[in-house]
Amino acid sequence: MAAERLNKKKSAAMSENTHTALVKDCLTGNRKAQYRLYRLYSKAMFNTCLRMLKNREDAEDVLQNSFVDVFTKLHMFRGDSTIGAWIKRIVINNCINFIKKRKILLTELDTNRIKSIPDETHLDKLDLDMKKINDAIYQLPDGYRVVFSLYALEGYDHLEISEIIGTTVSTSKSQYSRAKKRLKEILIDRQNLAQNS
Amino acid sequence: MSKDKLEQFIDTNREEFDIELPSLNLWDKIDKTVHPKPKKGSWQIATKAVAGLALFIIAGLLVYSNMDNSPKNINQAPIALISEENPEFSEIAEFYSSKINKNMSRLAAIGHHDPDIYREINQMESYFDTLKMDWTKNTHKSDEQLVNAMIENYRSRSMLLEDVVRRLERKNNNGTVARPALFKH
Repeated sequence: MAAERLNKKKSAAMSENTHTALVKDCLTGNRKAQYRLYRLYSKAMFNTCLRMLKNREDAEDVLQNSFVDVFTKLHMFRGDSTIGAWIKRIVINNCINFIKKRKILLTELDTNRIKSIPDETHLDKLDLDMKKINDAIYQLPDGYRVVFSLYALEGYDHLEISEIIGTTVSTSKSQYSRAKKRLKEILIDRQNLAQNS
Repeated sequence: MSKDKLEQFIDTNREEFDIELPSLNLWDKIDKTVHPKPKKGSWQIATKAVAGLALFIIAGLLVYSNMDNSPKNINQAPIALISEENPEFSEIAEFYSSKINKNMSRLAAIGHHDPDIYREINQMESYFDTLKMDWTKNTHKSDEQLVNAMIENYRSRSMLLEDVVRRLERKNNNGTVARPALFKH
């Protein structure tokens, strides 16, 4: 799985080589270039914010502040990662700071609500659908949703997640595992409900 | 740790999870924060004529804002940027935006829901958005053509809406309506 993630990052890095010139233009304060960089990443980053914060208004506020950070701190971008990964890290950090300000506990476990642990046999019967999964992600408790989004959708590993949210690798792993189980449970419950109605 | 069915599905369809779009005017807020307007020269060198002009503009803006209570045109992403490099565009854009917004409000007030009209307006707005993106990519040599195309787009949208609203209001007065020539088959 690590190799798969590495390959993904490599291919992303190759495609983003074309953005090097754009970054250079942005560094000169060229507003047209800045708008183009914004257009390239704003949609994906807005959805990242939305999954983390669950509220459109908050997501737009964080996205706005994040792009202001991007353009005012661009001189600090050393090219160690792709520009996309660098922007995403700024956005994620701002989301986490926003959540911390709202005092949402990232360690919220919600273990009582996990009635059963669906296994792959149950999952085989599950009709996987992008919209249903997306809706179920928004139903997850905040702590679960953040870790699940960071791992399954944003592509961070547990070490990176532990650094981002300030916890241990094992907490990130267990939080993710519980989030995934809860997500499957929501999906199965909804499917059963739809079949019975 | 191998991926389960759910994780594999998410990986395969990853891009489809990004379906929402931020408001189109978010860029203007970012741009204004990153590039705040430089402060004007000291008051000591301001002449009476400049002060008078400023008053005139403020009064004009106040009248405008009172006249137009409709929501701001969301399709204004880099308008501030284009206006800065093409000062004459600013006035024209403001004139037509205000006119379009007013007619959109009138259309909504009439309670008309002909999808043809909205489809046409949406198409014209999409084209306008394309022109704006082209403007950010192109060199200054082609700016004039793009700005002219944007003005033309504004003018066409404004005329279309004006025409539709006028016909609908006439219909409300007379009880009959003639479809705008654009939508005749």
